[in-house]
Amino acid sequence: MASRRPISDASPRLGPVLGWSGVVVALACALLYLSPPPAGLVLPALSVLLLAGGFGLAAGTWLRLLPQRLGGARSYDIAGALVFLGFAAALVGDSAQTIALLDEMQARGLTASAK
Amino acid sequence: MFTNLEAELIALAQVIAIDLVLAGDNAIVVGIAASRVAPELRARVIFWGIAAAVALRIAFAAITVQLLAIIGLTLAGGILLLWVCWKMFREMRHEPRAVPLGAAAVAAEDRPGGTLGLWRAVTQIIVADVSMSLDNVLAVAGAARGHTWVLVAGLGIAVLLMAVAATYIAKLLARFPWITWIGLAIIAYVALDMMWRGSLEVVCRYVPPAVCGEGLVAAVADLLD
Repeated sequence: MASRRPISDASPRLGPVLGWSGVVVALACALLYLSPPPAGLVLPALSVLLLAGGFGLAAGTWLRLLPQRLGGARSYDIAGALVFLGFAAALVGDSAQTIALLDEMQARGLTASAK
Repeated sequence: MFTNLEAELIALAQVIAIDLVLAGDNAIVVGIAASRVAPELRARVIFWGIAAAVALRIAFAAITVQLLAIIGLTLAGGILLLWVCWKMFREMRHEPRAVPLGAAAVAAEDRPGGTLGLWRAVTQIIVADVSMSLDNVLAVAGAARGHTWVLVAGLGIAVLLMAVAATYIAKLLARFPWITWIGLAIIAYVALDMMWRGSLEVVCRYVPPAVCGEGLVAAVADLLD
């Protein structure tokens, strides 16, 4: 029986993982630059984008829509790094200010729709 | 009717966003603890860790009003979380790599203290969850605005994503152990932030409102000038 190449390798390399994560972070920052949210929502928006990227990559890999390895790095490692960075961005931000801003935006939205 | 539904959906989106954002500390703590047990125990650590987070959130959500009345709760939670960080730091210094990378899965019975390893990890998660759930519940309860189904649905979705996130974070930390130090630093930051906000809450109880908050910052700035 042909042996399957194991996904986990004995000496994982962090470089490719950081490289791919850096590319996604740069894309997320570019998106936020082109369509900037209010100042207090920048970190939460970055967090949501990175989390969406990480979960999306993991889902795509699990569904075999994306390759198991991307340029020397395991796709699941890249997904884990993006999720980790996403949560880190969220935790460093000011959650109280985020909630207050969302409340204000919702109130403005409901007021506009009531008119 | 349409406006009500729209408002509830917006509230649901807010709750999911808040749950995801604020649940990051849970995912990181569960990921750190799970990365340090044998691979075959990892799923169980994540399951029990997330289950504990859900149970604590539901319990705290039921007594939100009473919780809000307790002054110093955030400070106490921050101190508890900092203690958990200290315990993890000491363990990581004395046992830098709990599971050899690339090694075949070791049966729990063969590892020294195999079953204790599982429950020690889960206990760490539960103790950290007590502090972290408080902050999350108070924020989410406000965003749900009395729509119970929004609270429940948001919690369900966030828990599912938290479990998936913790799994990937645990695998990442097991393969690159030094990243665990960064995770620990983030949790320590959360603890110190809770202690700072909690301390302000306690101090502002005894200081005139005009001085507290922004007034306090301006007063300190004046003193420094």
